[in-house]
Amino acid sequence: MVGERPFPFQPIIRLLIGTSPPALAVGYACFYSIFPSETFPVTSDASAGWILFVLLVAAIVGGMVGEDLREALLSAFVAVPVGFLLAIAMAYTPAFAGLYLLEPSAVPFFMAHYSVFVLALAFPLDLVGAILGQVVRARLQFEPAAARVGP
Amino acid sequence: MTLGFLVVLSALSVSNFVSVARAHASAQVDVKGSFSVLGGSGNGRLLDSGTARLRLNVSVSNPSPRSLTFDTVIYKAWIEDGPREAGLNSSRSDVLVQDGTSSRWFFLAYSGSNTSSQASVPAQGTGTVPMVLDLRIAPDPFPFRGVQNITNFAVSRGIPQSGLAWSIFILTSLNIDGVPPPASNTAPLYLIAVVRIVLQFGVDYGR
Repeated sequence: MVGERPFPFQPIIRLLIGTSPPALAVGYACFYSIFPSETFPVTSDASAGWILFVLLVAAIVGGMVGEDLREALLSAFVAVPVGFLLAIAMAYTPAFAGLYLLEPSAVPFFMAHYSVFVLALAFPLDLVGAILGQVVRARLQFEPAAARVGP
Repeated sequence: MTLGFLVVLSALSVSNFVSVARAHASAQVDVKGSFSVLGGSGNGRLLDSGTARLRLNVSVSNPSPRSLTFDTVIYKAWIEDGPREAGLNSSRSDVLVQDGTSSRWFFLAYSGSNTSSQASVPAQGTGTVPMVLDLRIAPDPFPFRGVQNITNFAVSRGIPQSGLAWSIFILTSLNIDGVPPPASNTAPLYLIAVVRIVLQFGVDYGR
């Protein structure tokens, strides 16, 4: 008798799902920090509190997806470069309408130069978020069992 | 839910960003001008007690979805120096404009800036700043004398005021509504530049 084999791509899919929230958050945070008055919410200067909030919440949510801590940390690692690529894609969006607010060839360097702080911040935040996400995940898994054995 | 929230946040940001880029790329400036002599002798000559009036309508067409507000309009208006071209007066500090094989002399009659209009340019519409520029002997004796000499020379040659050639230069800046300027003193230059649109009309020949 052949036992039920797990779907081979499941870890990869979980990794992608776990990477999506922190990557999107990193992309958004980079873009928002560079163009705070042209993005959403519109502010005259980038709000550090808002950036921290978005990055941390997304990192925790992403961390909760991982089956174990190793998987959650891997998602957090991958999220930073993927997020940076998303930020570059966002900066290129006017080009789809034939408009150029920035010289196209300069966009990646421009984004890298002005988002270095957010990227540096995102890396430890994603790792901390991944750990916190795993803690939350463990608590959510144990709580129903604890309720069953209670008096 | 978090992913959906982030997607909405990013989509709104991109939409906002594209609309600002559209405003930068699509706004255009046009200028219409008319010249007249007030308090003249009746035959079009500019007397010492008269006024040389140039009306300029600076219009900005804005096909973008963002409304704009005029901030500053810098203007310079040169009048073609007929007497100089006829070899009668070569003492004025004119500018020489060469177009192919032809050379023309222009005299700077009006220059200044207007920051008080605050006229708005609606989204997908046009906004105009009307400017009335008056030149009198006091307090502008030097440009007045130049314009007086040129207009009176034109009258003597039977050229109407509407037939005088002008070269208008306009440099105007407009603020994009809903795009606040950076509050921080250490904000990078691109953030200061991106909140406003600078448009140019004509050629600046300097002084």
